[in-house]
Amino acid sequence: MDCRQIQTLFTAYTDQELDQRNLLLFEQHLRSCSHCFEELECFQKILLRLRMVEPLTAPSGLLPGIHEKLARRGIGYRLGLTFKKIFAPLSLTAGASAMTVAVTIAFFTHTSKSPESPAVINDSLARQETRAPSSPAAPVASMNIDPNPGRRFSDQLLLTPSAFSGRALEEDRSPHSLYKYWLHGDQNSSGNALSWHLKPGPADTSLLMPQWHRQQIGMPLMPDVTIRVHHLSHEGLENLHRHVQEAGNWQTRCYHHDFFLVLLNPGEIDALYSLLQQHRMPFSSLSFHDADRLAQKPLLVAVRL
Amino acid sequence: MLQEKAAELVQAFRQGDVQAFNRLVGLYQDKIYNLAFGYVKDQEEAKDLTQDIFVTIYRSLPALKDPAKFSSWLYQTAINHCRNRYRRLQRRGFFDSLSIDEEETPLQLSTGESLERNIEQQETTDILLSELAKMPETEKEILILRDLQGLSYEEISTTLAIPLGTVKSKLNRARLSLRDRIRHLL
Repeated sequence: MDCRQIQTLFTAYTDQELDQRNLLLFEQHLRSCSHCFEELECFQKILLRLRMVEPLTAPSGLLPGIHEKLARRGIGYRLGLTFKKIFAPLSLTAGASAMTVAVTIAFFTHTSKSPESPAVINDSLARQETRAPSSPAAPVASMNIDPNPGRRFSDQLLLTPSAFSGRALEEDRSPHSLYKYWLHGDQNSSGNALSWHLKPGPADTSLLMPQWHRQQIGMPLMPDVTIRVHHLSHEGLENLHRHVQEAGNWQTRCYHHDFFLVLLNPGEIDALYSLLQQHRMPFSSLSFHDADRLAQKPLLVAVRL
Repeated sequence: MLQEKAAELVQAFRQGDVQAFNRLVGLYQDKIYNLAFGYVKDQEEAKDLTQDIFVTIYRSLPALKDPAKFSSWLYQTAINHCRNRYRRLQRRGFFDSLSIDEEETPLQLSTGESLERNIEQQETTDILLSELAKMPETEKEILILRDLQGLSYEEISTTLAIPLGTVKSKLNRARLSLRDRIRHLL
C-alpha cells in the first residue's frame, strides 16, 4: 500500500471496518511511514473532538409548540382532538416527571459535588423513556482483572492491541477514556499481546498512540462504554458497585476510588441502565460503537463518578 | 432499543393514542434539534425547524408503511426540511447577518471542570462547528449524521438514499476535508 491508498482507509481503520489482511498491511505501512502515522493521528484527534461535541438539549416548549402549529393548521381538529385533550394527560406525566426530578435532586443534594444540571436530569429521564428493563443472563464471557493497579490481568477477548491501536485520545478531556489508568502489555515478536497490566498512566500523554517499535506497549484504558453517574460520592459509588454485583450477576473488577469495570454479555447494557434508574441515579453514557455492535458483543463497561 | 420502542409508539399512534406521538417527540427531539441546529446555527430557527419537522411527521405518519423504519424515515424527512430551510435562509442572507464565524454554540458547562477549561474547549468546538457549517452540503450531512448523530453506515445509506460503499468513501473524504480545514488547531 502506498500513502495515497492508506489515506483512503483512515475511516475504515478508525471505525474498525478493515478486514484482517488490510489491517495488517495498513499497520505495516504505518510502522514504516512517520508521515502517514502523523496524518492518521491528526485525523483521529479531529474526529474525536467532533464526537465529543456536547449535544444540545432541545429547548422547553418544543412539544406545546408542535401542537399549537398542528391546531393552527387544523390537523388536530380533523382527528377529532382538541388541544386540551392532548395535553390533559401530558400534564400528569410532566407532574410525575417533575416529582421524580425533585426526589432525585433531594436524594443527591447531600453528596453533590457541583450544582445540579438540568441537562443531566433530562438525560436520565430520557433514558427512562427509551429503555425497557431486561433480565440479565448468566455470564458467558470471562474477565480476569486484578483489583489492584499494577498487577497482572489478561483478557484475550476484549483487550487486544488491535482493539485499541490507532485510537488517539485527548488526555483528560475525553470522558470516554479513563486516562489515569493505562493498559500495559508485553507482546511477542509477532505483535500479539501475551499479558496485560493495569496501572496508573504516565504524566506524559504524548505517548497516547501505541508504540509499535517497543516490546512494551501502553495505552489508556478505553472501555466500550463509559457510564458517568452524576452527583455521586465515593461512598455512593461503592454502594452502587455492590448493587451491580448483587443484582446483575455480572463480573465486576478493578474497583478504584472513582470507577469500576463491569463485563456484560451481548445485549445486557439495558439491564445495567435499568438498575441505575431503579436507584434513581442520573447518568449519561458514552460509546463510539453503534447500537448493533453494542448488542452483539460482550462489553467492557466503566462506571465512573 | 430505541427503534423498537419507536415502532411500538408508531403502532399505538395509528390506533388512536395521541400520547404516543408526544412520546415519539420526546424520544427524538434532542437528536432532531441538534440536526437542525447543525444547519441553521441559530437556536430559535432550530426550534422552529424542529417543530415543523414533527408537524410533518404527525401528518405523514399514517402513510408510513413499516413502523420499524420510523427512525430512517424521520431522518429523511428531517434532512429534507433542513436542506430546504437552509437554502431559503441562505437566499435571504440570513447567514450573512448571523455571521457563522462568530456564531456560538450555547455554553454547556460540565460539572467539576474549571470555567477556564470550558471556555477553551468551547472556543475549539465553536471553530470546529463553524468549519463544519461551511463545508459542502453532502460532506456536512454525512459528518453530522455519523459523528454528531451517531447513525450507523446502514442508517446513513437509507437516510441519504446512497449505496453503502458510497457512504464509506464519502465519509472518509468528508473527514479528511474537515481535518485539512482545522489541522492548525492541533
